[in-house]
Order: sequence, then structure tokens, then C-alpha cells
Amino acid sequence: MDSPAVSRYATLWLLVAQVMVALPVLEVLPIVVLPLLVLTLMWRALIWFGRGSWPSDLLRRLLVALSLVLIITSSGWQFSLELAVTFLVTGYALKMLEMKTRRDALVIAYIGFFVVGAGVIYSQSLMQALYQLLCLGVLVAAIHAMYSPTQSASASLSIKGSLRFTGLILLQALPLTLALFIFVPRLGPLWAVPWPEGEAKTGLSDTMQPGDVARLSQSYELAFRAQFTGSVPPASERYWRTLVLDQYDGERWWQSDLIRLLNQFPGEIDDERDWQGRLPVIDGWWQVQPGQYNYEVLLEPNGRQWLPVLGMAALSVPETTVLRTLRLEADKPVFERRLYQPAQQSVVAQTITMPSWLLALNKSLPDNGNAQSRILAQQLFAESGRDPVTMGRRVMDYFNQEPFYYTLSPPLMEQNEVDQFLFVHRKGFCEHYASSFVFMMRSVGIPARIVTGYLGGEFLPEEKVIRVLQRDAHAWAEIWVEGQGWIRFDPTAAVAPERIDLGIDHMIEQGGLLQGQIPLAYRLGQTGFFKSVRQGWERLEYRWQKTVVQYQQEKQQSFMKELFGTSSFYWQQIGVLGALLALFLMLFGVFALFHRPALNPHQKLWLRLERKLVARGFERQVGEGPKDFALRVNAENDALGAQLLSIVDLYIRSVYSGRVKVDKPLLDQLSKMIKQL
Amino acid sequence: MNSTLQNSLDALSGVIRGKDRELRLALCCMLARGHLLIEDLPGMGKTALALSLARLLGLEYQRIQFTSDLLPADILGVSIFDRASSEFQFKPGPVFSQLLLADEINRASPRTQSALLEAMEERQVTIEGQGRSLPEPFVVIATQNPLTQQGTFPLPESQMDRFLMCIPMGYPDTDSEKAILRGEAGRFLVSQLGQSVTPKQFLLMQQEVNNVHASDLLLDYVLRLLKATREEGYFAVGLSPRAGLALLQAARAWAYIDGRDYLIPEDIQAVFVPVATHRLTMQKQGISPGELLARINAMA
Repeated sequence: MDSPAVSRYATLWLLVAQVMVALPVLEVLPIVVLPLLVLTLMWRALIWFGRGSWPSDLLRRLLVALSLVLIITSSGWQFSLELAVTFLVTGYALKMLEMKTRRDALVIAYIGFFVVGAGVIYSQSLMQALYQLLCLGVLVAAIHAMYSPTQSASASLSIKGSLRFTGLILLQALPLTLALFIFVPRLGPLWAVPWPEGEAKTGLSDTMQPGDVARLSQSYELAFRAQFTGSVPPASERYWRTLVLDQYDGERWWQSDLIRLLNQFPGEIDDERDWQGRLPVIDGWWQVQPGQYNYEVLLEPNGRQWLPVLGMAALSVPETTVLRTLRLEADKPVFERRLYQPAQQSVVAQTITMPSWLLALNKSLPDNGNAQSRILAQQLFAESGRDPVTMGRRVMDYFNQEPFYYTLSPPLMEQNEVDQFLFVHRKGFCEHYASSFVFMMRSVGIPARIVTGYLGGEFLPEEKVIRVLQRDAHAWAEIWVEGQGWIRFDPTAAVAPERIDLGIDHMIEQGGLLQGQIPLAYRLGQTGFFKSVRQGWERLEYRWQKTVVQYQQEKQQSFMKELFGTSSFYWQQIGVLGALLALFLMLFGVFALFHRPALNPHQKLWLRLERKLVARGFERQVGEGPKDFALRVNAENDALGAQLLSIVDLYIRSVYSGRVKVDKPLLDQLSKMIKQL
Repeated sequence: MNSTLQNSLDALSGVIRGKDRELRLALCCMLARGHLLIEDLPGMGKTALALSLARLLGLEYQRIQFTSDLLPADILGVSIFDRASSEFQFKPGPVFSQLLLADEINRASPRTQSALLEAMEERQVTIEGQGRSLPEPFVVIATQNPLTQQGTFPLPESQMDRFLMCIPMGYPDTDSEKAILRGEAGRFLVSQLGQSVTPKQFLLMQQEVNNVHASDLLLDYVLRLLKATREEGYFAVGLSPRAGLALLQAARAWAYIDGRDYLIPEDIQAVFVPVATHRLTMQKQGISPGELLARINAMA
């Protein structure tokens, strides 16, 4: 049978749903597709208003061809997630131009659900989730509208009705949703769409040039959040170690890689175990003991492999490696928000003597350049009695006592940067200080390197959460002391101690930085009423991320383990799913039982009669009245039919005539006749 | 089975072969004080049916052949100036009869159609400011060619509602058709039909039909059927409460013919299709109203 037409009312819901559902994914679509989407939407709206006609078959085909060409050319001939989503959304829009029957409308609504799902790939924030819930509501309302009677009393009444129905149905779906969410196994995808490549977001990279960190401090994006159980480190100890840069070419710092090292120190590096593009751990390089802080980190996706840890990374956790530079690295780039709990250990001693090549690496400088700085370093080194730690302090003092300034917009320094910084401009951001510090150390033969990471973060006391934004990025230095290991020096502390204690915002507010433009929205959120609202929301958001979004396979397994003890995980899941199914069947049964219309004694007898006749091979058809039924039986089987006819006669007289007194004798008679059948 | 009526039906089926169900529906319609619309191609026995019914029930019978130039006065009557008495005298039209056969009603212009339909609903006509009531019983049997034929004015939907039932005649089966060809059945037999019920008896029967008991269960059944036509999306407009009343009354008459003074579900099912078909507008082509109604019937 042909599907009925779609009412204007349902179409309106679908149009609204389409706009709402497509909004969150618009930003990932190629620009060229947008006019197409707007065009189709407006066209459909015109048809709705009765001012346009349906596109012809040819035109529809042309539109499809055009959008295919647009999508594929704009994708650079590469299959990617964006391409898939673009296809989905474009199809969603174009399908509206041929929506005439309810069947089409249903297809469109279901595609809508998929588009909502696609939106989840790009953002899992609480706000987005609430918005998507709204989208789901509108889609459900649209489906409801398709099935509502065509002539409604008034539009506002039916909108109210649709909304009520939708709310009710979503509420009814809630228990099942929760149960499925908690218990359904998280399976890997059967096929995967390649992730956008080279789409590393804002964040620290493994090279550092002057200006990099300063640029990062303009970004208000969230980098990660850390939640503590137990004590929380004071502001001066919130050094989030992320990357260690030990190669220097006079301008740029970067992380060493093995190929380069093998060329640099031929025949010296013998330990190539477990080489996966990084330096392996060698047992016994350091000693650990239980640490002071217990915390877990929820890292925003950034497409890179580093994982920030407080202090130095000591032990690896699943799917990570601790590198020789005492930093934690993920085995795969982080493309999804990742929750990890760094080992509760802290490094107490770095006992081993370094191999000579590694010492050499951390002392190496370009042969020429920055002559003045080298002389200054020699001078300071002599003054400090050729002791590395004293030398470090001496350089810090030098920064502190000479007129150095901490600024986000240092002047451009081209050649001999260190000299220019130390003797001419004396204005710089943390990377300038760290860089020149390490330069001076290395020039007097002390092994030193740069560490980049984050310093500080906003503390939300209720949840014991520290929120670290990209703008908290920082760079500092480490020097190697024989017998003690790597020791942290933060030259910025010598110039601007408030940066360490009070954070970057304080610096900008106080005018301590020469350049500083803070967006109004961000500034509003830092004071008074708005601050408490914002922090409240961020607390909620954090809980959402931790309990809902991060409820993945691992958490699910541990939760199930808590519930059911230690037996096999998969059997547990099967058991739970089975139990759920049984529960729902039971609920359904109970529902069906209680919602059955109350039967009068006649009807009970009749049902008994029907059962008996089914056993004899006669089943009453749907909608067949008792008399027709009896006549049909009679036509096939005389003896049985005759009996049945008399029963039916009594039955219909007692049920329908309204004149026969229904009493026990009559019922008994009927029951007796049925029994005798 | 009501024996009088059964005899009438037997006599009827002698004239019109192989159409027992249609005959019974026609009788049922008249018992329910309803007007009957017979819809089919020419030559299917529509006129024969109307004629036979009139003879059987001994009703005063008039026939109008509707044409496109028929005027309302041709149906209702006119006042003519009588010279002898020097006053106007009313000459009643064919509508003043107990059984009116309106043949090919959809060939007349809408104006003429509406004159008749008004009379049907009010059971009286107003001519020159004077109301004149029609005789009792008053039954209209209208025949109609399918609208696809040329030169027809389709009856408006609101007018269709005035007819209690709409019955298609349909082709006779092979045996019956053979009997007709052999000359064993047919219109020529109408004149040989005897009267089996007097008009007075018939009026009494119509009153007895009103007393047929409909139990609450069956009222619910009727309601569910009506609701199904309104909600399932098959029709542009569902059945009205008036249609529900008509359905119930027709079912009562059906039960009465069966000799019962109470309704059973089968009565309603039997009359549902003829009562509902002409009141519903299909939303989609491709399925006959009867099939669809049978489906609703099964669902409700």
C-alpha cells in the first residue's frame, strides 16, 4: 500500500529538526557545501509556504551530481571522517526535496538521528549533550507529528500535544537508555574512517622557538583537568611536565630523535630496544617511592602523544611509556578525550651515571655565536666555584638583579638571540629565560635542557579539580648534577615570581606584561557572580566528562567487577543483558496483563470455548463475529457445528440482547455446554 | 428470521438472481427509514430492484428519469391557475409518493438534485411558502451511474450523506446470468410479483426496528470503527457522528430482518461497508473502499 502523505505540520517539525541537527556539524563541513544546504532548505521552506514547486527529476539528479562533485573536490580526493559527515548532512538536506510520503519523512527523521550521532564525534561537552537531547526531542516530535491526525484543532494545541508526547516518550526511554549505557559492551568499530591528519590542535609541540609559548598564552582553550584525592599541590608546585627539549641549533629547541642521535654519536648508542620512535626506558635509572599527590588527568584531545604529569613521570600506566627524559608518553596520539591516572610515585633519585653520549648531547651548543653570553657564563661559573647548583642560582640571581622584564611581546631578536636578549633588550617571556639559562649552563659544560609544560591552573575547591588552559603553558630548565640527577630551575621565577604563585592572569591584570588583551567574556567569568556560575557549570561539566563520557570499556569492566565479583567479564555482560531482557519482558507482561480490559464471565467462557475449538482445528479469524464463526464451523463439521450453534445462540443472547437475565444458572448452563463439546 | 420479510426476499430473488445480499441490504435500508443509492453501470438491474421493492411493499410508486434539463418544479410540483374556480391549484409532483425512484440522479443539474435531497432530509417540501409534508413511509431509491461517465454531475459529498446506504449491484454470477438469458429471471417478472406487506405493516416494522437492543459492548464496537476511520490516515475525512447513528440504525434493521430484537457484531459488519463507503473520501487511489473498510473492520 502507498504510504500516506506528510502533513504540513509534520514537515514543519522536520524542517526545524533539520536546522537544529545540522548546526553543530556545520563547522566541519567544507565551505562550498554550505550554500547548497541553505539553498535546499530555503527551497523546501518555499514549498512549505506554497510558493515553490517540487524540483523536477532532472533537477534533483543535477543537484545530487553537483553536490557529489563539490564534496569530493573539496575533500582533496581523500576519504576522511569529514567527507563521510559531509555526505551524510548533504544527503539529509537533499532528501527533503523529494519528501512526499510518510515513508520518505521517516527516512529523513532517521538520518537526523545519525547526524546527531555524528555530532557526538566532534564534541562531547555537557552543553552539546543537552543540545543534542533537544534535537532528539524535536526529531521524536516530528515522527509523532507524522502520525497525528491530519486535521488538528489548532496549531498551538497540537504543538503542546507533540511536546508532551515527546517528553513522555523520552522519559519512558530513559530506563532502557541507562541500562544499555551501563551494560552494553563497548566494542571497537568494525571499520574506521581515517582521522583528520595533521590536525593537531593548539598545544605544546615538540619544537620550541622564541614566541611559541607566548603565542600559546593567547589561547583560552582547555588543555586538561586534573582531579586530586587527598592533598592538592600549592601553586608553586603545579609544574605539569609535558615535553623535554634537548637539541638546540642556536635558534630552535626540539626533542631528540634516535635517527639524529645515531648520526650524531656513531657507534655509541647500543641500546635500541623497544624503539618505536622514542628513546626506551632503561631499568634502574631512577628510584621511586610513594608520592605525595594522588590525582587523575582528563586530557583534551590534541592529536599528540604527550601526557602532562605533575613533577617527573616515574612509572608508566597502561598504554603509556615513561621515556628516559622522565616524561610520560601515550602509545598513540590522543584524538579522544583521555582519562589517565599517573602512577602515585615520585622520583627520589636518578642514580645511574649518564652514558657519555647523553652527557655530550645535553652539553652541545652550536660552535659559534652569542660570544658575550659565553663570556658572562664563564665569569659567573668562576664566581660560583664551578659548582653546577651554585651556578644555577647565580644565573637566577643575575636575572633577578639586573633590569629584566617579563613580557608577552618581546622585541624581535634575530641573530645571536641570547646575546641580544641578555645584553640589549632584556625583555622576554618564559621561553627566553629558560633558553638563555640552558645556553649559559651548557656553555660552561653543565648538562642542561629545556622542559615545556604547563604551570598553574584554576583550582575548583569543591571537586578538587585543577583546570589548566593552553594559556598556562610554560617553559623552564633542568640541569644534571652528578649523584642527584636532574634538578629543576625556573628562571622566570627570578624575574616574575607572581607568575608562579598567582598565575598568568594576574600578570596580565597587573600590567606586568606589556601586552595583554583578555577577551571580555573570559574576564567577566573571573569575578563575582559570573565566576561562581562559571565554576559551577565547569564542575558539572567535569563530572559529566568523568562519569559519562569516560565510561568506556575499562571503567565498565571495573564497575561490573565491583557489581559481580571477579568472574569472566563477557559472561557477566551476557548475563546482565539477558537479565535485562527478561526484566523488560516481565514488565511488558505485567503491563499487558494489567491493561487488558476486564473480562466478564461470558467472555471468559468464550475464551475457553475458543481455546477448545483451536484444539479441534477451528480458529476464529480476526474481526469474525461469534455467529459467523459458528456458521463457518457448521459448514465444515456438522456435528460440532450444531453444538456450537446452540452454544453461540445462548452466548449472544446473554451477552448482546440485554433482556436475558445474566445469572449463575445461565452461566452454568453455558459452561456445561462448552464442557460437553 | 422474520418470516414475512423472508418471503419478500425470496420473491425478490426470483426476479433478481444471485443478488441476495444486495436485496437484503436494500430492504434493510428501507426498514431503517433510510434512502438508498444504487450505484453501477447501466443494465445491471438497478431499476428492476426498485420496481420490485415497490410492488412487494405495496407502496405508491413514482419514477423520475433525471436529465440535465430537469427542473425542481418537475419533481416538487407546480400551482396552476384554474379558470373554473379562479384560483391556483397545486399539482403535486412525483415527490409526493411513498417510493420514489430517482433514476440516474447524477444526470440532473445540481439545483434539481438539491431540491430532491432537501425533500429527502426534511420529509416535507416547501412550495410557494407553504410547507407540505410527504406521505409516510417515504423512501427514495436513487440510481447513479459511475461518475466517470460523460454528462454527469457528481453529487456533492454533503449530499451523499443523505443516503443511508450505497450499494453497487455488480455483475451477476454465471449461473444467474444464464438464468436471465434463458428467460427464467428478469424485469418482466416484476409485474407478476404480489404484494406481501401492506404499507401500514411496513410502518409498524420500521417502528419495531427502533426497539432492537444494542448492548454497550456493541456501541463500543461502533465507536472503535468510527475512530479507526478518523485516525488511521486512510481517509481525508473520517465518519461523522451522524454516520455512526446511521450505521447503528442500519445494523438494527439487519438484525430485525434476521428476526432478532438485539444486535450482534455481525449485524454491524454486514452493513458497515454500504453505510460508510459513500461517506468517505479516499486519500490514495489503488484500493477499493470495500477492501479498506474490511481491513479497518478486522482491526477494530
